[in-house]
Amino acid sequence: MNRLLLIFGLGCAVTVAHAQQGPTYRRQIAPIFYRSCTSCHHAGGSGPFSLTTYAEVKRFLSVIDNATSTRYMPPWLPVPGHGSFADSRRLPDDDLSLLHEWIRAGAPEGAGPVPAPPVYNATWQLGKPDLVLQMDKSISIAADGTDLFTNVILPNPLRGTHWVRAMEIHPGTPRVVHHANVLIDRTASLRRTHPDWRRGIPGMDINVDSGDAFDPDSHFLFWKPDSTALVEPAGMPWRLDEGNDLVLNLHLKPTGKPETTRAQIALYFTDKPATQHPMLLQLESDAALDIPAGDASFPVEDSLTLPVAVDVLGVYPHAHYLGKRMEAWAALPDGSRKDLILIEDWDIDRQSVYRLAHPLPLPAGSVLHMRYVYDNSAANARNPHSPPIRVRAGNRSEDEMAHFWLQVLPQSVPGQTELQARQALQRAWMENRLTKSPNDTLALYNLASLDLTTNQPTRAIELFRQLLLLTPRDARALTALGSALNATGQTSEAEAQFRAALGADPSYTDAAFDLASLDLQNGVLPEAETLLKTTLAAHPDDAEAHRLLAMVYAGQNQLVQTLAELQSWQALVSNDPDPHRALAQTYAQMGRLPEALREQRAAVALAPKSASDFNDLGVMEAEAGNAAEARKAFTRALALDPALEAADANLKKLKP
Amino acid sequence: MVRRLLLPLLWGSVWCAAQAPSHFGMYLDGTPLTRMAPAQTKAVVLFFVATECPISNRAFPEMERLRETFSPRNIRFLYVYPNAGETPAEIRTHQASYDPEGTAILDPDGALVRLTHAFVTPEAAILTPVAHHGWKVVYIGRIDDRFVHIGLQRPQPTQLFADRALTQLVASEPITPDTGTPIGCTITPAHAIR
Repeated sequence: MNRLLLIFGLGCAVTVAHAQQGPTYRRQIAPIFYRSCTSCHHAGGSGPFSLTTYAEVKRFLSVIDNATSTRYMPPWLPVPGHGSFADSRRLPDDDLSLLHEWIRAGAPEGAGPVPAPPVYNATWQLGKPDLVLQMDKSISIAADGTDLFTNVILPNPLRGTHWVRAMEIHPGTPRVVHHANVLIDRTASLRRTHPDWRRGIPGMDINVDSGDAFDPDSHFLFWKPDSTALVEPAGMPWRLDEGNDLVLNLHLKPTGKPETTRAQIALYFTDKPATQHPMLLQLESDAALDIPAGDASFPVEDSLTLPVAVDVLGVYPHAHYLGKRMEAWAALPDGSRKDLILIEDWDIDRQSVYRLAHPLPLPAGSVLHMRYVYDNSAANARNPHSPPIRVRAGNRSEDEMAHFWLQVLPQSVPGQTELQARQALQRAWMENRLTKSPNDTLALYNLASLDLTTNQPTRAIELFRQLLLLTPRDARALTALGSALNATGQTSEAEAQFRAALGADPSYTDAAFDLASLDLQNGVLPEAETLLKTTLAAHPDDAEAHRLLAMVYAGQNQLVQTLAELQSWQALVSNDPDPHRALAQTYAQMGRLPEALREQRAAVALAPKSASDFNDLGVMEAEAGNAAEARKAFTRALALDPALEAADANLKKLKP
Repeated sequence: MVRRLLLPLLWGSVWCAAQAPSHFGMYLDGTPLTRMAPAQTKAVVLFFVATECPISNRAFPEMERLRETFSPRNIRFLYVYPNAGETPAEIRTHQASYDPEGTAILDPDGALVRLTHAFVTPEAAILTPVAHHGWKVVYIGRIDDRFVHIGLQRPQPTQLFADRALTQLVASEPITPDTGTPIGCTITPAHAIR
């Protein structure tokens, strides 16, 4: 076929388009487009052109023919038969055959009514959101050049904890946003490490610091152009705490003209906290990624034995531009194999999270496997280097990655708590990382923290010391080692580590706080006061620091200052009875009985099953001369705890 | 389909088409382009583009660069919008976004498509004047090799075919044809639909 034939052939095809023997647009083809194409290809959608009418489809017929024949469109990478996924975008074979038959027949429009196309609008799909976070300012994308990868921090402005049942992203200018991932930075670590974060943080991939707490509640928060609102399964909303940042990891593509985009994230809350806590597991082989220039078939592998049974909910394979073939599966203890995914022609531009159509149960002892193959030859058109160069792992787009993420729901066995099951998985994951890379600082830290959390401080000390050989001035590791030493009663060694941490990073307030706690314990109150004031200057909303500083003032009999700190503490934790108890005691000590009574009443309102609180309330009522109220309080205390001798004695002391 | 095999066939039709047509498309205000360029112009470059073709859009920065680089060398550049159904208003808006300094024209009766045998957007045609106000196509083909096929593009082009052809033209050297098949959106000229 040459050019002339192609052009005039099209004209001929149009003139014979009235033959009605085969499929027509109005009868069979329009519904295919409505089902598989128009969610992106509509006016204002992320597709580069609209395909909602016959004229629009006809205009792009050759592109449609080509894109569907090669299965470039609709975008769907997994090979059928290897994993069963929800929301598959793969065009069914029957639809594809019909479409091509129609194109070969000259793409006739046909007679009869035109099926009504779906209606798309620019508003939020789930109605008015509970919270919308918007980028401070637009990002500019140059007309030309390579893809842009940037990370935008959206601080959560809300107080308290919220549970998110659904999320929707409006990317701003849909045609430039190729995909977006949302990460939850629970410790605002990116803001700390990138003081100029408002300008955006470059990087295809990014690590956030999850802090010292083991936080197994993990969700895939992934958006791509055909994504709808991301609704979490029942019982699995995700937690958004006060002070958390949402990090929008954006992949932006030049379109040929200067563009800007300003994304919004809409959140929908539920008042029902999570009852099930999925967690993310990762297989990875980054350390093995050292791909020689020109190597067209470079394989890497990883495997992980599951210490507990899990239900697999979703998977997310990830490599950069050299990734070619990706395969993941589970080998079950009975010898059977369950495929998790197979991608034969990886394309990062069409990457996605794949949610399983149904949870896949895997028994304990199953071995998860991944095997990726990379093409670093010049024949790989996606190769960012021309000519090819040696490539290793890294977060930049021109580096590589070998990651396979799974979202799983751990299944605890009798005698094991849900938390213990999750901790077992976390331990298996980190130990696997250390097996591959003994100097993996992330794994060393996480494993040591896990040991500390699970009351194995001696093991934690060993691992923290191992970590500090690699990163001797890591203030966080020094502080964590101090905590582990303190847990084993080695207080002077702990103090030395806290001081070393502050020496390495005087702004590291966790070390200041821990040293202040130790000072308080040892009666070194002036230093504790100075350290806590430093902590609060950096983190005025640190409730624990206010509590500790109140104790320091109380220890120095500075009751006015004590009261001020207790009030600050109480304001930050409004549902906690502890600050009310402490305020009541302090007011009582100052002889300010009405205020003491007010605070103690607030304490019992928040802790209505606390016998000791009612007993304390009874004492204060009696001191205030409210015998009847005192009697009621002591009686209530005894009803809650008949063995509470103090309440019994107090009740007897009251005159009848 | 391999471009190298096509070329000998095409030259015949190119020479046939070198007779001067009555006009060379139409400006957006409806004025016919009776002369492709002033008499002393060394060459005319036609960029075949479309308002809604993402592959054509992606080529605009390179087309703009070529226009800016070679316009001072007595070469005229025209953006040709050959597809049926593209209105002057849409084209003005589009051109203003992608290359506001460029001149856009319509090809309502397909004269330029017939003359050059362009069949997708984007494509570049380089024409040099011949006697009797005629024009000879000395290059027709890809702007660069960014796109391998629909759905596969390089991070950046490794070969700038149109740039090479213009450089050779300016140096009075033989022009090297491109390699591979032009990738883009098929041109649907008004005359073909009629």
